[in-house]
Amino acid sequence: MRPSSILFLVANVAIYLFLLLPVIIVIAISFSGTDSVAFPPTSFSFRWFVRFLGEDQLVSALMVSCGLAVASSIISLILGGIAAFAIARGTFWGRSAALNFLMTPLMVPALVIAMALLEFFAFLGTPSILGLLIGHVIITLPYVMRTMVAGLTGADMLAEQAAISLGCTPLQAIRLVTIPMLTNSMVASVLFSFIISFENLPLSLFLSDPDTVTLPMQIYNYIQWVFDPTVAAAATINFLVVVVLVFVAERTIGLSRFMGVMK
Amino acid sequence: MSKVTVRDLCKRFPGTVGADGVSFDIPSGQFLTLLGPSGSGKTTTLMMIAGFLQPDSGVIEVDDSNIAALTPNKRNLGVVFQSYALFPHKTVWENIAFPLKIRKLAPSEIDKRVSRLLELVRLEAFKDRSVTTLSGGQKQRVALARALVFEPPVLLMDEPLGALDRKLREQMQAEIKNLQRSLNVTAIYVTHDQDEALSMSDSIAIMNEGKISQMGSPEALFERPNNRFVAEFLGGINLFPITAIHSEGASHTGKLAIADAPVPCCPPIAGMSEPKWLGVRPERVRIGSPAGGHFDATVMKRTYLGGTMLYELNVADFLLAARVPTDGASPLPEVGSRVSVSWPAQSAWPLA
Amino acid sequence: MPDRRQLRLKILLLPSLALMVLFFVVPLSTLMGTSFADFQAGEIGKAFSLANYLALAQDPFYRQIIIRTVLIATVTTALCVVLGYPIAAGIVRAYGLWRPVLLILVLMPLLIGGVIRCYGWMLILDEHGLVNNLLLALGIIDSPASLLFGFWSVVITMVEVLLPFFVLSMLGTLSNIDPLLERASLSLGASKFQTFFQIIFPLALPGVIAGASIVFSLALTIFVVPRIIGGPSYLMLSTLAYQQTSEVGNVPFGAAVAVLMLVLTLIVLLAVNRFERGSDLNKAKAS
Ligand SMILES: Nc1ncnc2c1ncn2[C@@H]1O[C@H](COP(=O)(O)OP(=O)(O)O)[C@@H](O)[C@H]1O
Ligand SMILES: [Mg+2]
Repeated sequence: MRPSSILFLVANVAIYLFLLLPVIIVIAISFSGTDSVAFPPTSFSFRWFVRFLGEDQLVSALMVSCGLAVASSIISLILGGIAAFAIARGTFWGRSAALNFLMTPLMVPALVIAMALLEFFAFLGTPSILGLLIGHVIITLPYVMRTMVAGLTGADMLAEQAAISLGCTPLQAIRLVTIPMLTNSMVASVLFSFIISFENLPLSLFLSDPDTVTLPMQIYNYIQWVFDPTVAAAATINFLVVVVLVFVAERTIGLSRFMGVMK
Repeated sequence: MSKVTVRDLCKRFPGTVGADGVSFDIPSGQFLTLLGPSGSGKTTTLMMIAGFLQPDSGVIEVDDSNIAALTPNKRNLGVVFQSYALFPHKTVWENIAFPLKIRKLAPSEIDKRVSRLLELVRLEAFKDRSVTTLSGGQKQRVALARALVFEPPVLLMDEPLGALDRKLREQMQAEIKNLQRSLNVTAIYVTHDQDEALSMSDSIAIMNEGKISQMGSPEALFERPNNRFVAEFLGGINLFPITAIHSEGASHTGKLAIADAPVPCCPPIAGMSEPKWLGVRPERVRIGSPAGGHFDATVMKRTYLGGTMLYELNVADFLLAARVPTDGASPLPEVGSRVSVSWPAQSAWPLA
Repeated sequence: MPDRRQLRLKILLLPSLALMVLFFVVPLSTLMGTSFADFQAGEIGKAFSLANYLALAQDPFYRQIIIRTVLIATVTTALCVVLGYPIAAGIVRAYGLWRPVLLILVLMPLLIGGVIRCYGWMLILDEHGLVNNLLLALGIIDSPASLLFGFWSVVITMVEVLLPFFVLSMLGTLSNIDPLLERASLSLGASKFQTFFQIIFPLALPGVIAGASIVFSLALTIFVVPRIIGGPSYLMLSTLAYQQTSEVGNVPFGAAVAVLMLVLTLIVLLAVNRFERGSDLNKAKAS
């Protein structure tokens, strides 16, 4: 290897270490055998995971986060899926304007959306959980739109027409031909929505009440007041959820191909 | 122009061998083609000469000085790539001027040389165009001009015409050949297309699994392949399996696996490994009335090709081809009839 | 018949458009309206007032926060470009299984989210954290000191949190650059250095700009990092907006800060959009 290649390799390794360092530290601390969050931990144990399961607040936050993420990604997939279908298959005027409009939440800081919704829901008297759900749908919808429009534009429209020529009704054609062709895009949509929702802090910060605290919010609360590794265990569990999702997605749909969606 | 010597070039990749002891000499100003199927190590060899791959071992000399330790930008070799590799953010003129600007030539000199090359590749009218707007053939001419403008002693080309359609390819073959001759540059050309190799080259090295299988002039290779791989790669030859060769003074015979009587053949080339095949071109095969030749065969099929008749004959389940002139006078054997097969001794070559 | 089909397709758009208007456009407009309200003695007034914006523009305390925010975002962006480029180039060059593996290594922190990574950085930077322990062990310092709550701790964390965004938005442009261009340039006599600055970087520039603009606009408005790493006294615009709205209760002023963040984001994104169109025009002219 030439010196320049070695330099490049060393730089890359160092930058990856920098990028992964905080996650590695949190995971290491969660297996600590002592009460301190000092790094490196001096002994190994699972006690903080046991402790985590005993902390109702953290467990219920995990439940709230999972529930919100599942519900909001399903709603976003349905709403965004049919909207993307209309935009990809339609020829009517204003399609691209509609798409741009549905993408705008990406351009607005999450904190600003949260503040706007806080004021609005306070005025309407919306229950906290409903407000959170709506907020999460708003911020995940653009990711669904992007993935689904790309998927539908790439999908062969001729297949749909061929199905119709073979005797399907248009609805049957969509159900039997179009939707199966879009499986990858739909899995990717749900996955990105789930994760975007699962890790969102600003919306919960403004819209959660004591019963609807989400996991990131609870972790955020804990790290300001609690100094034992329980929260690191919560973070590790959060990490595991993401790893499993990413692994499954990579094996089933080749997640890396959909990465452009995240930017 | 310069002579190029390559000695025992080796390059291993994890799990495969890219080049396995490649050696050749190219006299100054000559055109050598590396010909072989995909994966045979042509690109690997060329890229080691260009300096983009570090050989595991071996010597690369241009005019007797070893360049193996130089970085690619210090080797001063022109390289043309299959996908052209033109700089998309530069115009035609800027692309061709690039190597001269890097060499810090005076602007007037740059102008002069670029104009000359533009004229040679007939692209004067396109000099201010963005290269992204050119057709495939035009792009390839820009790539050639760019690789030649700094007057490199050697030009390396890796399947430069691979992306063009057949007609354009034939036209570009002539054009490359003319440029190479008129600029008198030594050329190493990589292709998997045998017609291209036969029509352009002074000599051809046929590669297989990282080795040069045989090297020689186009006629020599085509007329006298010395191993089965080369014979089959160039095509159009009957290969009879043989079990032994007997020599008695100046006469040689081979024992065919499919016939009892030994058949006459050429002497094996000195130094070649144990011959296992006898190669006979279909044009040299003679057919006659039964029992009059080396052995008898049955006519399976015949196809009229205008001036000649192509026969497919069966001997003990071995199929061979014979191409017989139709003179219109003597009657030609029908499908299903028995014929005898023979050939002149000098038309049957032992192959390894 | 085609008209009927188009009409039906339009109807499919309605639910999401309605949702967006009701729960995005209306609340944002209300927020903007609120930012022009006055706030006296703990009450939100009805009168139209520019007081919030004037305070932001004139009060040295708030001015300092704006300047700090822009400065941190700028330094963060510069560092993300410097650190993100080699990562993106490495992914583009990697072949076989390495490519998805590296991609996922970049994606993973992004998916784990900011809160946990900020927590990780707390564990690294605070009094009993990794850095202090290392320095103590090496005998460089005698007594530990928290490294949190300052410019560099915020910048370092922010770079780490935003780096994946830069890498991901660079990848497309970078992988569209033919790897043979580098070889071609070298074969024509250019050094690696000349090849990078004359051939590769000009072609990568649109991707660098796209990535940098995303990082810059996120850095201007990100909340977790300044909140957790910057703390309550080292404020940036996002933490100021939160503090004013949730802790001080001055909703109109918080709204004004939010509107300022929104405007800054839009300016960045629109400026880049203009640049991209400009460069497209240049290309069209050249051909
Ligand atoms: N960078 C590489 N890494 C691993 N194997 C390679 C690499 N480049 C070439 N090879 C292998 O080396 C052999 C020769 O390849 P190449 O020189 O490209 O063949 P050709 O140009 O004749 O088609 C092939 O088996 C190919 O798979
Ligand atoms: Mg090749």
